[in-house]
Amino acid sequence: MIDLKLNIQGTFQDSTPFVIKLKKGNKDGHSQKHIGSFSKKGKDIIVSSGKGNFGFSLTNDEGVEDDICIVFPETKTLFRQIRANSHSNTILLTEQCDQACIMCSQPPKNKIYDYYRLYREALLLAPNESVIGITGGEPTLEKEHLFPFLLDVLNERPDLKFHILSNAQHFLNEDIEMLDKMNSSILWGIPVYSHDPQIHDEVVGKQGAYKQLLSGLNVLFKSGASVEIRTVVLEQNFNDLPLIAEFISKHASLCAMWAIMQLEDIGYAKMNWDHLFIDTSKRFSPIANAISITNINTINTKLYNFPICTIPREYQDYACKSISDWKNQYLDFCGDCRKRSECCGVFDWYDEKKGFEMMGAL
Amino acid sequence: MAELFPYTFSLIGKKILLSNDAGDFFLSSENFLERLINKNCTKKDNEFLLRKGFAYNEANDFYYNSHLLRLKQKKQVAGKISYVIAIPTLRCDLACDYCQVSRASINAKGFDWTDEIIFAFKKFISGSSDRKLKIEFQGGEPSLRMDIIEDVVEHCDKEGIDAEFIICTNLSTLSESLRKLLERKDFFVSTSIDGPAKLHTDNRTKDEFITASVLKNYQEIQSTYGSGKVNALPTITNDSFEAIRNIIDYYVSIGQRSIFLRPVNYQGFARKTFAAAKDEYYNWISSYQKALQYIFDLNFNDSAQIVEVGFEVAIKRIFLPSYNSHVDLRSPNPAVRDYLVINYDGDLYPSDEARMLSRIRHIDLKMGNIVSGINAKILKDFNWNQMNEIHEDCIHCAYKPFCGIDTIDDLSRYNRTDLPKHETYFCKSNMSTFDNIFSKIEQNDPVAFFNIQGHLSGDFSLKPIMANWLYD
Repeated sequence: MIDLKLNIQGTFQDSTPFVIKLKKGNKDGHSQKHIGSFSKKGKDIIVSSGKGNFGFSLTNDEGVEDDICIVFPETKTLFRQIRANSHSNTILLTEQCDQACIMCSQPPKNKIYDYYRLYREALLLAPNESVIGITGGEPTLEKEHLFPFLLDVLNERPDLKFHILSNAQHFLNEDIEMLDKMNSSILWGIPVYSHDPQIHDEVVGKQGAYKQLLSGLNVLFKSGASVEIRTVVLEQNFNDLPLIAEFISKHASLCAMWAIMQLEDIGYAKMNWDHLFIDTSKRFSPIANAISITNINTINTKLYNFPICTIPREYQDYACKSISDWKNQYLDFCGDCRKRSECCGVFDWYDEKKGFEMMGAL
Repeated sequence: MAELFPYTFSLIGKKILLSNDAGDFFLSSENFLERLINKNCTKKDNEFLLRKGFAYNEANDFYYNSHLLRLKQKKQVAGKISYVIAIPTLRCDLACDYCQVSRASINAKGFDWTDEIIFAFKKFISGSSDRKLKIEFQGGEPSLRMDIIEDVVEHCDKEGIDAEFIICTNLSTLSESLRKLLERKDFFVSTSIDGPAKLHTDNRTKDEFITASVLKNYQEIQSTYGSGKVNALPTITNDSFEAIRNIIDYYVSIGQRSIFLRPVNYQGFARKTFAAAKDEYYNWISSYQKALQYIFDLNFNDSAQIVEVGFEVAIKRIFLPSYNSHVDLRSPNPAVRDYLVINYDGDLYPSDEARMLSRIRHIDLKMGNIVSGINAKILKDFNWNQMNEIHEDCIHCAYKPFCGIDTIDDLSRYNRTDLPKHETYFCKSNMSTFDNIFSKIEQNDPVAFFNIQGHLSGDFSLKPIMANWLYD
C-alpha cells in the first residue's frame, strides 16, 4: 500500500494550504514558487520551501521526487495529490452522494473537499498528458463549481485528460453546451447495474434512479461525450448480464467501452459481502454470454478487478490492470506467475478466505 | 402506455415475430400481440418494449434517440467509394462452361484498359477515398495484365491510400510478378475451385494438367503465405445435396475456412447454356438448407469452423445494426455509391451482374464511364427501385429490415422490375433463409446458436449468444 495522506511536523509561514512539487536536494528551491526541496533518509523526508519547513515519514521506502503535494498547515497533513510514478492519480472531490449503493466502496459522508484553488495549482504543475481521476461521493453534485473548474484548467492545460466517475443523475439539457466544450478531454464512468429499472434502483438505493440515469445518459450522448459504462457483478444482476449486454449494445452503442467489474471488498461491500459476491472463478457463464453479445456489436468490453487466473482462458484477453497502484497487492503464489505484469492482482484489503476459490499462478 | 414505433409481425412456428425498421426484433406469444394491438399491455410488457427498442416515453428521450441512431446506422450507406471492382482486361486463357463474364479470347484486341482509362482510374481512387479502400481485380484473367496491377499498387503506395488488393485469378499460372505482390500484407488471391479435381476439370479447365497446376499453385500460396492468403469460391452446377456435400468436404480438406454456396449464376454465357436454371430454384433451396445444416453439424460436432458466406451475410443483417456494406442484401441499395465496377472499356456498373447483363445485350445498366463521368439521371431512376422501405410488396414484411432489394437480379431473370416480389428468386430464396433462421431462434436450437455466434464473430470458441429473444 502506498501512502497518499501523511501527517507532517514543522513550521509554516501561515495557515493557508499550499501546493508544492517535491525536488531533491536543491537549496535554491526556496526562491521558486511551488518547489519544495527535500532530503530523504530511508523512510524519513525533510522538506524546505518558501511556505514552511516540515518533515514526514513514509510507511515504505519509496521515491517522492516530482510528487505534487497539497499541504494543510492547520491540520498538519500532506496529500500526495499527483504522484509522479503513478497512473492512478485521483481527486476525491466530495464524500456526499445522492445514492447509497449496496456495494459502495466509499460510503457517503457529509464531507466536501472543494479545494478548487489547490487542485488547479496542482494540475497546472502536472506532467504532460496526465490522466486524472475525479471521484466521490458524487462529483456532479458539485457541478456548478466542477464544470467551470474543469473548463478553466483545460483552457490552460489542454493536454490533460480527466476520468470522472458519476451516477449521471444530474446532467440536464442545459449542460450540453458546457459538456461539448470539454468532451475531448473527459471520459465519464457511468454505472449501469441492470437492464431492469427495479433491480438498478434497489442496487443504488434510490427510487427513480434508473429513469434519471437514462435521462443523464441521453444528455451525455447528445452532447457527444465519451462514456464508459460500468457494471459491478453482483448476486443481484449476475444472471442478467447477457440482458445488460443487449441493453448496452442496443441503447448505449455510443459508449466508448463497457467495464464488467468484480466487487471491491471494502465499505458496504465488506458488510454485505455474503449477499453480493459472486465467485466468478467458479461461475463465469453469464459473463461469457454477455461478452459474446457486446463482441458482435463491437462494444469494447473489459473485465476490471478480475485476477487473470480466475478467468477462463478464452476470455483472459478482456482482463485489465484495473486496480490502482496504491490499493492493489499480489498474493504469495503470484510470485512466478507469467501473467503477473498484465494482471490487476487483488485489492489490498482482499480476504482470501472469502474470495475466489480457484486461483493459482499461470 | 409507452408510445410505439411502427412495427410489423409474422407467424413463425407457434410464435409471432415482431420487427421494426431499426432491425429490433423478438418472438412473442399471440396473447402478447393481442395485448399490444388492444393497447392493453402490462407494466412488464411496457418495460420489455422499451428495452427491446420498440417504444419510447416521449419524443427526444433516451429510447427515442437510441432508436433514431439505430435507424441511421441501419439505413445509412457510406457516401464514398470503399469497394472497387476493376477489370483491366476481359481476355482469358480459359473458357469455362458458365463463364459469367463473357470473356474474350486470349489474343483478342481492344479488350484491355487503355492508358487513358488507367490514368482516369488512378485519378479516381486518389480523389474519392479518404479511408480504407478495397480494390478487386477481376477479368477476364487479370494476371494477364500484371503491369496494370503493379502500377495501381504503386500508385496507392505513393498516394498513401490505405488499400487492400484482391486478385481474382484462375491460378493456372503463378508468375514471378504475382509472387512478389503476394509478399505484401495487403494483397490477397481469390480463385475458383469447383470441387475435387475431376469436377474442376469438367467444369473449367477441360485439361487435368491445368487442374493439377491450379491446385499446386493454390497449395503453394497457402503454405508460403498462410491459409488466409487465398480464398476459393465454387460454382455449383449440380444442385443435389450429395453434390454440394462433396464440395463442402473437399473445401474442408483443402483448408478453406469459408465457402459461398450459390447456384450457377443465371447470367453471362451461363444464361444460354443453363437456361433451365431460370425457374429451377426449389431444388436448390432445399439442397442449400440441407447443406447449411451439414456445415452447422460439422462445426458443432467436429470443430470444422467453416463459415458459409450467404448465411453469414443474412445473420449479420439480423444481428448487426450497421451491417449494410454487402450489396447483395441491403436496403436502401444505392448504385455506384460505395461500390462500383469499372469495366475493361472504362464503363461504370453498379455490380458485376449488371456488367454481364449489358455485355450480353440483355439490358444496358451502364451508369457512366471512368473518363467521362457518372450519368446522374440513369443513376437516380435506378436507385428509386433500390429501396424495400418504399416497395409495396415489401412494406408489410417482417423480414424487411434484414432483407435487401436487387433490381438487377429481377431484370436478369424476368426482364422486368415489376414482377410481384414474392414470385422472384430473390424474395423466395431470402424468405427461406430468414424462415430457417427465425424458426431456429424460436426453437432455441443450440447447434444454430453455436453457428450464429461463429458466423457473426468469426470465432467459434466464444460462448453462443443466449440473450432471450422469446417473450411471453
